Amino acid sequence: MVEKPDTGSENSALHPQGAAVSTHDLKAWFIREVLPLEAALTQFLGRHWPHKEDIDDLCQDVYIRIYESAQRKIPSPTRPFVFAIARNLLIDRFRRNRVTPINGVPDLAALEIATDEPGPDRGTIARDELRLLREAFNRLPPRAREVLVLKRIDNLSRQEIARRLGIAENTVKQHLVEATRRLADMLHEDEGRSS
Amino acid sequence: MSSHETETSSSEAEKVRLQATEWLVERVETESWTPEKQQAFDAWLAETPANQLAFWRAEDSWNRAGLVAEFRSFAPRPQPRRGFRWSGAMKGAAAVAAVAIIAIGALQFSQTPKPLSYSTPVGGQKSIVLADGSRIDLNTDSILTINEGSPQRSVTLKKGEAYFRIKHDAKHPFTVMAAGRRITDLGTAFTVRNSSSRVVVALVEGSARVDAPSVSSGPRSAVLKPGDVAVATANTMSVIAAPVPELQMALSWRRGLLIFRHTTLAEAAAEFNRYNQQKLVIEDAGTARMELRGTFRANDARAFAHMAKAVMGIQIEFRGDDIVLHR
Repeated sequence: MVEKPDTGSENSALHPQGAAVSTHDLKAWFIREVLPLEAALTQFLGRHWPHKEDIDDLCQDVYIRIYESAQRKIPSPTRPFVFAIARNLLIDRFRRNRVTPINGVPDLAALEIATDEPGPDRGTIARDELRLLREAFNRLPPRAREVLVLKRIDNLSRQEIARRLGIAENTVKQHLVEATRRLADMLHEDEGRSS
Repeated sequence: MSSHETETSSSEAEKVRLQATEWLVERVETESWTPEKQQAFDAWLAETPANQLAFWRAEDSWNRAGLVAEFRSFAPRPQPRRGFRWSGAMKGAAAVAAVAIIAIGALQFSQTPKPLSYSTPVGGQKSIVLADGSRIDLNTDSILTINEGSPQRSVTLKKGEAYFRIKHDAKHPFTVMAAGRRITDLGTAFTVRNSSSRVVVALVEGSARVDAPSVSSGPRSAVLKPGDVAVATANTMSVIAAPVPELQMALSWRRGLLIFRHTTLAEAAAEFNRYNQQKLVIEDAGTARMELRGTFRANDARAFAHMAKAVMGIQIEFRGDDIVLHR
């Protein structure tokens, strides 16, 4: 079933059939190594793909390819792997859609530039995390922020939040979805890119 | 989901992200999360890797948002209606069980013959479903054995911590043995922690009796009600009513989180060290006494150390496997 012995993970029950990497490990890797690259990745895609509105979809497709490959073996180092996948995807799309690439086909040199950008040093991430979170929270609509804090920090149920703020439970839910979605976008993008 | 095209300009990826966020927001609402919802959620996840990945992305943000609690440790903290929040925490805690069990995947235990002993490594967790539908969630670094051959339903927590959600049967009471104490379920969800120096029983729901026959002074038996925490040391047993921090800490591990409120750095480090090979070491008493508040991922001592450095102004140093915290 697998070519290589399992390296480390004990919870074989979590392995999808035919996959060599457990979902648990895959998830941990994706969150730790791939998501912090999202800003650099979308920038890279934006430099080469002419239609800005496609970037999120391209990014999603890159993730899917990464995921499918990492199910067999988690690549190391992550960063060159992610950008190689992104490059291959772009080339496929240029061909399929007969799109003229802007700035030319991303060649290996371009790839080098992209991979030379400062990587996700965990210490830096941790140090900047509070600042990033604080800024992201400050940019949320006030009501959505308030609801998110009551839910996430104070661990209140939606019902309790609704009662406390005197709003409908469904409104609480809408605020939560809104706040969480915006937060996810802000935490995964460059400061300059967001509206 | 319907497949009709809408006028909106949102991309496919945006739609998936929105769905993922809606699921997340639904799923954290533990009181109303049902097996049916879990089933629908699982089906949605399985539709395409894009869904799974978007959910991980949303979940990551959600977890990180918990760190914002740290900001508030500097602001004067209003503590409104503590009792009210308390009861909410109880209900929430009880309902969390339904989520935890499905997420971890109890199926692996349902068909195979049951081993007599279950254990988890440092940082691990495991769920066990007994034949009667009772459920046990085993926390990090724990050993639990099923005592067979006894007419009663009985287990022994040799080490570590477990959450029990027991199908009550008055004729066949469920008992947990831990370091010579016996906990008897009287219709119950509770946690038991057996550490080297003491056994702690926190009652979430229903009622349970704790017997400590070897106690030399004070009560040898106590009937707990929701919110009670019984602490038994070698020679004593005491029951504390509604200690918010302890019960919350006692339950948050089931979501992979550590929740601190008015917790000293020393206490926080001890909690982290239960879950990680990389140990937090505090060098001076002043640092050890500093208090913090917040929600953290139990398996990331490193992130916690960096956070403590940024927020509390202490120094951190990596020495071998240890992370040393000092002024």
